[in-house]
Amino acid sequence: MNEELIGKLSYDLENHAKIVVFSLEGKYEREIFTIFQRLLPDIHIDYKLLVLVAYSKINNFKVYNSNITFRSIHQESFEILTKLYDTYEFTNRIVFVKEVMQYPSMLNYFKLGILTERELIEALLH
Amino acid sequence: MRHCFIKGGNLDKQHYQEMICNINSLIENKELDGKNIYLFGHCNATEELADCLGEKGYVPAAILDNNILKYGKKYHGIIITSPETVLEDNSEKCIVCIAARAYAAMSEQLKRLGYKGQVRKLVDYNSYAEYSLSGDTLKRMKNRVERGQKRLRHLNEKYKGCLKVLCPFSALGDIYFMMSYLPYYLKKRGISECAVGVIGNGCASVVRIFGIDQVEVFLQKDMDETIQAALYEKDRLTFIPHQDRPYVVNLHKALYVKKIPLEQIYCCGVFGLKEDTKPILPTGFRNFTGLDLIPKGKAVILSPYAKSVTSLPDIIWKQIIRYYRDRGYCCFTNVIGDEIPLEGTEGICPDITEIRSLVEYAGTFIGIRSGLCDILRTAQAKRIALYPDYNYCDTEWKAIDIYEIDGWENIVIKDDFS
Repeated sequence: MNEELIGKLSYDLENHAKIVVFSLEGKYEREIFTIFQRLLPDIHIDYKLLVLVAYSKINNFKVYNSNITFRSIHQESFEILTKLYDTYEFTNRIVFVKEVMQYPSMLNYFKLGILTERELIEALLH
Repeated sequence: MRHCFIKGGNLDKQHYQEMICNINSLIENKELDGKNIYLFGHCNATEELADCLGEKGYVPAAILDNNILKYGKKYHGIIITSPETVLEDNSEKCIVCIAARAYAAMSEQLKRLGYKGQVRKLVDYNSYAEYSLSGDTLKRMKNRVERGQKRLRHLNEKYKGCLKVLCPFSALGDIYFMMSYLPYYLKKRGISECAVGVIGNGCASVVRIFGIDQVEVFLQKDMDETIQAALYEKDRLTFIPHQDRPYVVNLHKALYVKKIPLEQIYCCGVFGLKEDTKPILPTGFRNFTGLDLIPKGKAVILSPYAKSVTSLPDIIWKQIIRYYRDRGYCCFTNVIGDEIPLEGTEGICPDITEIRSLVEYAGTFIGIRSGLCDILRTAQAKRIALYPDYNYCDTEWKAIDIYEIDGWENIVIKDDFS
């Protein structure tokens, strides 16, 4: 494992209550990220939230709440991070927003209209 | 159903023994002497822990829990309160004992709150979690993945081209719903054959009544490692059909914002199928071999025991038994292993494949709401499910909100037994 990345992750976990990781690789994930960005200003967040965004062409995200930090990460870092997450549960304060073949995702509820956009984002941030 | 899926989860024998052993060790090492004992996570395992400690003369000061709806309630006189409560005590004189599955998360939460006292894990039943990024942990967890990879390779060789459906938890109801919708999922993915991995022979029987014979029975630890390996390898021919296990599955988070019944969780959440998808019904039931011992239509099958459901007070069962005996019914208690029949009843132990014929012949079934009720949901008999009055995990929903069964009489038993 990449020691520098592990060190950075430890620091981020220490300094944030929650980390949400988006991969913008797929069309569907990009759509969820767009919804996330649109709804986030209306959602009360009183804890330190770090949003990591992979496969993004944008480096500067709009910041409207001092509790929220957006950061772009390289594809390589994203892959190391997901590999680590697939090795064991090192925290329950990190959420990956991506569709994976091996297990179900809350995105199923959204696709089927069981969760609204807002409910999906609130549930992801719970 | 999960650990705290139905409130907590009665410990199975192995984990119960592990807990007793760890309590004895704490006592022998005098770690509890002069300490205010706090338990974290009001679940059934914690209630069992409180009982064990009480029997040994140690009364916990409080049960810490994250569900605000539980605050102020008591278990056997022990108050349920917020985790922050422990900070009001002198940490040097405190010990927090945890028997809940979320040990790693709870331990970290206490640390982040600023608690500096002792924390002890009494039962180890979540091998996925270790909240550390140290080199030692990484190495140990990587070795765990490698052990899983060997098992995964073996499965791949044995079931070439089949989808491996690995069920991460031993719960009859989960397996029942999973099997009710699995064929649609296979069709959606264009897969014709599957092999189902489960924990325990009971779950294997449930798979078989749905007509699937390719079943592998795992130990919990081996299942965990195999699943971890499948995640690590991103094995496209593995699917893990569960709502909250392992840790990567986030379906349960939706319950913090919306009430979603168990069947919908499986149909829509786990398999991504439309809500109006009709569940496949099991056809592999067999006749119970001792039907001649049962008075047809004049017997009640009682089911007071369930692995993952908190028990109901004895008085409830006594009232039920009296009611039926007074009307000339024979009462039977469904028991497994060393479970004891309720007073005034005879023990009976049908196989899972036989229980439906038994209930239909007897005419009446009354059981605590457990996975067994799911197996019996289509039985032609009077069927009553009893629900202890508790919240589903730390959500605002009650158990009945998630588990209510159509066509059954569903009764919530309040704390005052009303």
